[in-house]
Amino acid sequence: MALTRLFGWICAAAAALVLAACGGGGSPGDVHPGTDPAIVPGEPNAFLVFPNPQVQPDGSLQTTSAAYAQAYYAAIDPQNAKDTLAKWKAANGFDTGTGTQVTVVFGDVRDLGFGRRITGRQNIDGTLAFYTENYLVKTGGAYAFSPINLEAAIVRDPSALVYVAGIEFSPGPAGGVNFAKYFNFNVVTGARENMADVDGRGDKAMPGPCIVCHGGRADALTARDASGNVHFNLLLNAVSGARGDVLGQLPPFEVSSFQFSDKPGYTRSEQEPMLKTMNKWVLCSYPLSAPSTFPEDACRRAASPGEWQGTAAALIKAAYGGDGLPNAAYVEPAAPSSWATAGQTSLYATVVAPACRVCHLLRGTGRQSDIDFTTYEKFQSYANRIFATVTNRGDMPLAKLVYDTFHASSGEAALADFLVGQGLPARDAGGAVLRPGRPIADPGPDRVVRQGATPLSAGNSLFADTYAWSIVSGPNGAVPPTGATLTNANTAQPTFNATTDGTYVLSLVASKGSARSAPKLLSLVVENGLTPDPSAIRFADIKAVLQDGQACQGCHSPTSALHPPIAFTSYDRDGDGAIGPTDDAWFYAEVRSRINFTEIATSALLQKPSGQHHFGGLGKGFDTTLAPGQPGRAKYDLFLNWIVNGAPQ
Amino acid sequence: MVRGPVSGDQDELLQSGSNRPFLDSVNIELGYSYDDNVTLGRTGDEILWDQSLALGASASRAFRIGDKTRLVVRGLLNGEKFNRYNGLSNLSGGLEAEIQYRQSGAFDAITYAAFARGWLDNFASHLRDGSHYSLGVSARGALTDRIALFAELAHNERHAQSEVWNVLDHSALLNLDYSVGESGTLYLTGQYRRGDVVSDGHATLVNVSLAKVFVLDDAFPNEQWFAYRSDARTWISTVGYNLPLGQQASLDISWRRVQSTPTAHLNFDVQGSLRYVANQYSIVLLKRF
Repeated sequence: MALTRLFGWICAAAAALVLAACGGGGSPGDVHPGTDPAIVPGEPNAFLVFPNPQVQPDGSLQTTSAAYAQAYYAAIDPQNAKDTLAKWKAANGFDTGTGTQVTVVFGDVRDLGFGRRITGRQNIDGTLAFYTENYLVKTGGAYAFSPINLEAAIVRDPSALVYVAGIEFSPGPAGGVNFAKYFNFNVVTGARENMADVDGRGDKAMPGPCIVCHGGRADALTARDASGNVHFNLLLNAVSGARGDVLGQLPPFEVSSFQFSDKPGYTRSEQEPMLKTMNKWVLCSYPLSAPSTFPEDACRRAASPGEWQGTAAALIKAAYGGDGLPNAAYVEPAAPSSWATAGQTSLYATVVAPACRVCHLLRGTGRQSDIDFTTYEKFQSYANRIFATVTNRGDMPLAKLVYDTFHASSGEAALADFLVGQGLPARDAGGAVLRPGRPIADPGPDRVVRQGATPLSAGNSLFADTYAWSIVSGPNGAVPPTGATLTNANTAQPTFNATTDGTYVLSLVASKGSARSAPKLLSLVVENGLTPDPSAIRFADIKAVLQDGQACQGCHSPTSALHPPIAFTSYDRDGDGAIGPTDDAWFYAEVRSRINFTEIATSALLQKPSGQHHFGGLGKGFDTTLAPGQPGRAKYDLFLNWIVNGAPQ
Repeated sequence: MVRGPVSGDQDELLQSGSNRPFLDSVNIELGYSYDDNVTLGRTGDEILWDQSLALGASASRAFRIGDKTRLVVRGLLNGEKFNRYNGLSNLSGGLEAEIQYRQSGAFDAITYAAFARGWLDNFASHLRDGSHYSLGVSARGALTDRIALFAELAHNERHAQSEVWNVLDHSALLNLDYSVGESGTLYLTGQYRRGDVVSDGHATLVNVSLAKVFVLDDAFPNEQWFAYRSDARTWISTVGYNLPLGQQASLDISWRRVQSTPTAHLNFDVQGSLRYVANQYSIVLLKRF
């Protein structure tokens, strides 16, 4: 018996040890290679997406859909002659022994974090092509550059190859001038891919993740044609005249933001000559506004009237010592003179150069390029938008890595000080810099409505899931308000019901957990004689305004010498030889394309005619300095109510 | 690891009796070791050496189950103090239970055994804290009056605060003792382990590519090195000499060579070998009570 008891005790002790051995569980510092960076729910995650992603009636984002990529590739490669990497390389003359071909390897420290191996070539006919092998050793930690990624690019570790991008600067399918086209290829099969996961935060449709930075536009697709097909939009200011010319550019190689290896063959001094060659090719892609005798400009065509020439060319020249490109190595250019004159070189160096310039440098039109931020005044003119995107929305800086770096840098405070100086609340009451991720209430834009039920929406509020609406004051500032009620006031979709005309001020507080937004006020001007009824506004009403005389059509015409990107005239949009219902449907799609349903007041359809960054200035009837309902902003109110109602056709 | 000759336990196999002391044997070990690669580093700049002092005690008792079968229970307590990298210093305690079967008391009869061993580990590096256990079978026997053999197959697991040290492997061990009479015993041990190994090194592409999981190692705080777990084939070879110091003591001197080769196939050229090699030199004073 004693033996049995002892044996039992031993077994129990052994069992206890075995159970203890089953512990583990991991430490917080454990990293599992191969896992993507964690996406924290509730934090900003709208990276590499256009500010206007083209929200569809069903709520989907057209610019991130596979259909968008399919339409894009159909436009630039209708015969699928470049639907694999091998075919694309062959079509662009790679490894043929003709032209000039070079390869560079570096670490993209600033923008996407990859180790990059880029092979570029200039063909004898002047066309350019680059394909980039992007290497990322996934370590599951923060999304950041690691020298390991550069190491992987050097040894071409296939397990770290996350995507292969191709950019070519060549004529469209029907010939014409060269323009940039963007491709993405499967790293294993080489097949062309509709989607690309550039930052480990999910697939996005081509060419979106490329052109969102490279200066391209993301207009909506056309409506279906007679055959039932949708097409990529045609931008009227594209000199190529080709669908698929999104006005994207070739970005300069900003060598000072790269990291190089110390391995022989891959040092900076060894890579500089090839990088300069590539930068000279990039320079070739920018048209010249005036004749030049400098040899590096010989490859540049003359700019067409009104064509945007980009500011990247100036950056490249400055980085290599100016005209003639006398310097062998890239040197980070000094801040443009306007910034120096304004005494804002520090703001430029800590904010614009590291966090904005790489994309904004490539963005603009021939008539309106405020957004390129080449002067302090341009930057200043965008203060409201910078506050909205950087401080509130968190969709700028555009890439997650740049975003993280910016918010960990002195640039964050420098920008906050700038914004505070512009009268924008970029710091809290305690002086701390406000960061995106806190609840932001958006009750929608101030507007004029009729008596009766008016649906409201807090749907464009940010980082919030609970809402509290209230009526702050009624007509003539009456407190407590009379003449109106609010039902479902604690939901995202309440209903305002007024029985008396006048101006009502409503308040929305958005919350998530214990975090509450500042109250956001909404002015609703109730005017029962408003015509047409907001719910009855249709595209025909909008078109009537756009085509009322020459106010809009005078410039926005396909024959305009000003070459606007979009026309508001009725013309044969689908090219079938006649102007018919399909053209009108395409017109509607183009106009709807200029609505940003995620941030209604920023819609180009509202901003441009109201004189914001618009070559044509302020349009009659669009004066937003006036209160809703005033005759001087009647057209703006019409457009706004149409949009708020979903912009029905 | 088998330290010292293993054939000496045979004489206890079938002993039993109500008048014997509660413990059949108590052993104390005091040892010094020099390890030329405590990091199990692959390249020269990832290899660190250290030396350690170890003190261990074990006590065992055998319980008769039948004429040919008995249960041996052994308790163990070991402490090891490293000189340069204190994070490796550790204290561990455990239990071992082994059921032994021997067909007869004949000289050449083989003793078969099944065992379970479990330890709790406490390191100065808390990432390594945890436990480990082994389950296995063994056989031992004498070939001649001078030569004894011991073989063991085992499943080994370790669990720790960091998943890096959550390791699993299987091992096969063969030991040969060659008695040189009263002058002592020369022994050779070969062990093959297939499974996880933990190494330390820089955050390089090779290391990350080999790693199943890695962590910034707190045992080498000045190095900013990462410990990583990878799958490997490991050969452990030991040659030692056990010198008797009277009836109840001995001095054991050994050289142990560990060679570990990752099983992962890297899809790129690697300069140098992926192999890790460590040499451990030990001198241990064993005292039996």
